[in-house]
Amino acid sequence: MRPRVPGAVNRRCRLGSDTFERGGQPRSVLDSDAEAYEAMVRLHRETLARRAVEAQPKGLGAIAEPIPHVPDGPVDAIAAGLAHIFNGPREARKEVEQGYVIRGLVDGATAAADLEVGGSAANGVRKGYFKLGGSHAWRDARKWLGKIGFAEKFQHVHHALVPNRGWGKAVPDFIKNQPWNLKAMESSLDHVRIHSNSRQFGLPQFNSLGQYWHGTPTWWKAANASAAGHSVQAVVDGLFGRYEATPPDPQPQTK
Amino acid sequence: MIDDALSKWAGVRFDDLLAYGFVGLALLLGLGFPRQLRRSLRRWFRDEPQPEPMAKSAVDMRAVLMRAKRLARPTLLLIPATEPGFSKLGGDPDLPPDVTWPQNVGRARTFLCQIDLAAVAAQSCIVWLPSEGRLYAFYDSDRHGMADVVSLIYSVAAPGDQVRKTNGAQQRFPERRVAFAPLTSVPSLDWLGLDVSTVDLDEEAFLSLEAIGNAPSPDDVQHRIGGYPNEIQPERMWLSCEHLARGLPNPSWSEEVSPELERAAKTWRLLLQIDSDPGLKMNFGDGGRLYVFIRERHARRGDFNKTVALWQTY
Repeated sequence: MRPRVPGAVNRRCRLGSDTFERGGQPRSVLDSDAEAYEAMVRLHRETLARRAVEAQPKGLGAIAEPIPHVPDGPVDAIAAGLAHIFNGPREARKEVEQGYVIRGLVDGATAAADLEVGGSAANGVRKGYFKLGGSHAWRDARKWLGKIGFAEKFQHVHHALVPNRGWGKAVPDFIKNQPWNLKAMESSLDHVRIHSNSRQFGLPQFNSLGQYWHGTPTWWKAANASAAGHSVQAVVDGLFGRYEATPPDPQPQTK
Repeated sequence: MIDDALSKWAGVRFDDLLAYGFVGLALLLGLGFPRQLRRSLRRWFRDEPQPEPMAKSAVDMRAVLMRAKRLARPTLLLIPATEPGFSKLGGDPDLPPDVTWPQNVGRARTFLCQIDLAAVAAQSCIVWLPSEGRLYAFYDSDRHGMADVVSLIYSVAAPGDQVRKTNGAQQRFPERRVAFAPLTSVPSLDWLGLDVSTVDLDEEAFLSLEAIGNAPSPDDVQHRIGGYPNEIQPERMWLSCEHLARGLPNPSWSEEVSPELERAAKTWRLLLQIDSDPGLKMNFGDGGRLYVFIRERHARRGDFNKTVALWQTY
């Protein structure tokens, strides 16, 4: 038997495979022709992929026209997510230009919300908005908030998402007494109006929308807008099929 | 190549999406939140005066500790009683027969506590409180942020033979008879006039400050008489009292205070602090606290109608 070179194409072999006849089962005996055929197909696919890569623009243009690929790991998934976030506004603009105004607005708002959430996270990391050491009791946490400039000296700070008491009592201080869960209030009266009835100066308690608007951090509102936008996108895609403002690159033709 | 990319990203022509977005946002803010829009615009265009950032200064910790020791005040912690007595938290008040239950807009207020001032005088050095008579505190959950969220009745008359039952009150808390444990209360940084954002104090310095007194941890549940309040939020409470007593709006956190107002505000004393207490099913907001203040001269002459109550929460 002639020695087999991996990746080499046996030009004299019969094109085709008996996999179908075998019902997709592995071979029970060595079949050098079929293996040679599969090596040829593999080589062909690699050639196509290489040509697709070579066809992409280089330099800054390569960022504007990213190579579509399926993420297959955590790093890829993060990179794909970031690419999606940064590409969102451009896609939305194209949709509006193509006449899909409502879709473009929804996608644009979703992209803006995604950017806000990402920006808030990056800003939090940059400013060190997470208390790592020391006491996390509220009194110490509040002093720390003043030190890092999260809240002014006499500014009230509200526990927005996880309350301090009630069900929030089961949540440890080092989780709930952190800036992600806190909102520096515009005035102490706003803090009163979030929590309770007060007819002071003719100002009633905030309704649900007011409590949401005044009592939750910006990143949370952006995250809610982002989730709502993505949900709408998913529903619309499910009903009418996925729409791509930038169609994927056509498959390179083989000669 | 860079020009191409810039034109693709930023666009030299009118960007439809941005225009729609800004118009939509402006409409939403203008129609839904006009005050917030005005405030945001002022901030964006730097029309709002911003305080100059202050450089952190080293503080003489020894001087701070000396001052805190000098300003420390006696306080009484309300602890569960082992013997029967008049003072209690929750339950029903032992009001004298001729005293009517306080009402607000036709609804009876919730009874908070009653204190025997003779028992207080025997235990503490709170010299500005009358040495006889009884205090009854009532709460109205619809008046948070107002001076009378807690109202007091002071009576030297003997309590009624029968316990007055609540009729139509907002709430009734379970009863707990209390005794008094004398402690020393240390002023907080707010009362000392220190700003953590401008002075260089580490956690050890804070601990040494709190070690002067022997009150429980500020985050623990504590009902107290006298001393300094355990603030949940940093606030110039003396100034808030003065504003409420004069019918002025709450002082904003960045507001400059006139010396005359500051001087007048310093006469307020903490009379009563009532905490959210799961054991008594008390919860004021999100685990908040009620603070009742009185001017020293009013307390000395038994005029408890001129109190101001504040409320803070997490």
